[in-house]
Amino acid sequence: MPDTLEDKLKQQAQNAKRAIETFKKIDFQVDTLANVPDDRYLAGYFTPYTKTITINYPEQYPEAQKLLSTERSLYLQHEEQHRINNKKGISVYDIKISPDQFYKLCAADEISANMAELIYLREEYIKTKDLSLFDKDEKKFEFYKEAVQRGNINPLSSDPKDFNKDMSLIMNGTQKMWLTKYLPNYQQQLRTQTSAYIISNDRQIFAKDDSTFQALMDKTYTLGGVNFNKYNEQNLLENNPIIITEPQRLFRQENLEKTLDGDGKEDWGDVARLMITTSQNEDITDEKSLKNYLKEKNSKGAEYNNYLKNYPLWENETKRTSEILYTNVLDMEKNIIKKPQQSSAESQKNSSSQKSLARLRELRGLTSPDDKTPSSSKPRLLMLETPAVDDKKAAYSQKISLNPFLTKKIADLRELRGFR
Amino acid sequence: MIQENRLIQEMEIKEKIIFLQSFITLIRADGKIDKDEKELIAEFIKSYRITPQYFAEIKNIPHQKTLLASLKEIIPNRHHALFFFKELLTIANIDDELAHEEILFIEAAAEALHIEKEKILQINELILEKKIWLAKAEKIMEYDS
Repeated sequence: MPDTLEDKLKQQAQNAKRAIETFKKIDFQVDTLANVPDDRYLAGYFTPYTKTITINYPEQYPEAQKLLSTERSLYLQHEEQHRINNKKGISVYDIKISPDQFYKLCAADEISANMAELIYLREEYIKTKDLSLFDKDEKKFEFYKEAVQRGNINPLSSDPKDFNKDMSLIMNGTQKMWLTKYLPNYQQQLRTQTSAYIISNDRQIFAKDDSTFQALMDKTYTLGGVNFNKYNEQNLLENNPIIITEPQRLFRQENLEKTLDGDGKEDWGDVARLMITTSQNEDITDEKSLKNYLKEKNSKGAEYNNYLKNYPLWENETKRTSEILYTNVLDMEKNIIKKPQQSSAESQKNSSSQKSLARLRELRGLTSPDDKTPSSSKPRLLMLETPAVDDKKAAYSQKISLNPFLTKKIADLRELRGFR
Repeated sequence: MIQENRLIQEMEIKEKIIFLQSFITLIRADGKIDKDEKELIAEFIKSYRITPQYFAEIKNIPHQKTLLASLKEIIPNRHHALFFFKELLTIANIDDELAHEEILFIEAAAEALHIEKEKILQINELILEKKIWLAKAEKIMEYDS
């Protein structure tokens, strides 16, 4: 634990920075007539084509409504992670990796969304010390709660060893939980996604590209400023029998051809159904239009997405969505996970952090300490000069124009001090 | 805030000058003072209503050891001293990073004015809480969009 004044002040500043950067506002819609099966309610989903998040709120299931009200922020955190991953190029169709790598990537996308939920709960736990938080969402994070209870991990510790154990459990524990508990339910979705990937690429089967794949996995598993892929020692995804055999069984090119030519209508139907549910006005009745649809709406869908981001209110017998709603979720693209604190002695030695500070200053439009501009060519700062009283008015009129960063800084200073 | 306005009104010019000299010392603790940082100082000059005739004196900053001794001599009481640290820590927290040299100066000033480290941490926390509050307000009230 830090004990010098410097360590404590720095920790306070770091905590504040985290608190400020923690949340971001996201948009979503609610579907009150969601068509969900009796035994399991789909909490929500992200639609890649429109970049929209929909939370189901089925009127016919009061229990589901209750759950969706209390745990909505958790589901939104999950769906927002899919949106972030999509933005990073995860599970989009214009990448060139083998079908089984694509299949794995889609699975990793789901694991990543679950990790976002766990990180959200972990942050709440750090604030409240309430272990029952981990019972939320079908108790999927019970493994984490038990590890805290047993003392195997300690999210409150600032010891680097504890931090590494914690991060490792978030990665490997979530992966294990998802593969055991959820993969069977997601097999159909992964198959559909991979079919759509192949179709949209004119049924080309790309060779394995380990370098692209690993880079995408790093992106998928980077949340809250931590690359969890570095903690992925167990690599359970690679070794899971379903993950290994399913793509091989399903996506050999001849099978796919056969499927799409009519014998295996089920696969074609699944893909088509998925696409049709995302578009009320598109005419997708055959493979050709589906392929065009996929290409236009996924790879080149910017225009379409811009149109649809206005969330048109859908009303028909199976779906009724709300207008755009907004909420705050943890911003997983920021460094929200608190890392172990360096001691002041260590931080002094760390010259790279000094360089980062200089870079930060440059980025923010402030003069670098290394600025070699001759002082005579620099703008005069009149406030600290001593103009003659008669020259005062003229001097003030020459006042240098402030850059936007500085304007913001001065506004912050005024707000903080409470003076106008 | 009324309290703080009253404190500023109470302050004699020599006290205002030593405040300003300390702020400049803090800002240039990393080796130099740039034009943006001077603008921040200008903010204080404005709010303390210091007239240009004192600018030269402000610029004539004594050596840190002498400055710290003067702080002890000029700042009349604990209330003023606490206000001094609130202002000092506000400047220190404008950037996201607290430099090692800045903290050394704050620590030395606290020692000179007999302000406990715990109190420094409390004041710092107070400022940071306000900073967080303002950032939240910006998001909730959609001032950022």
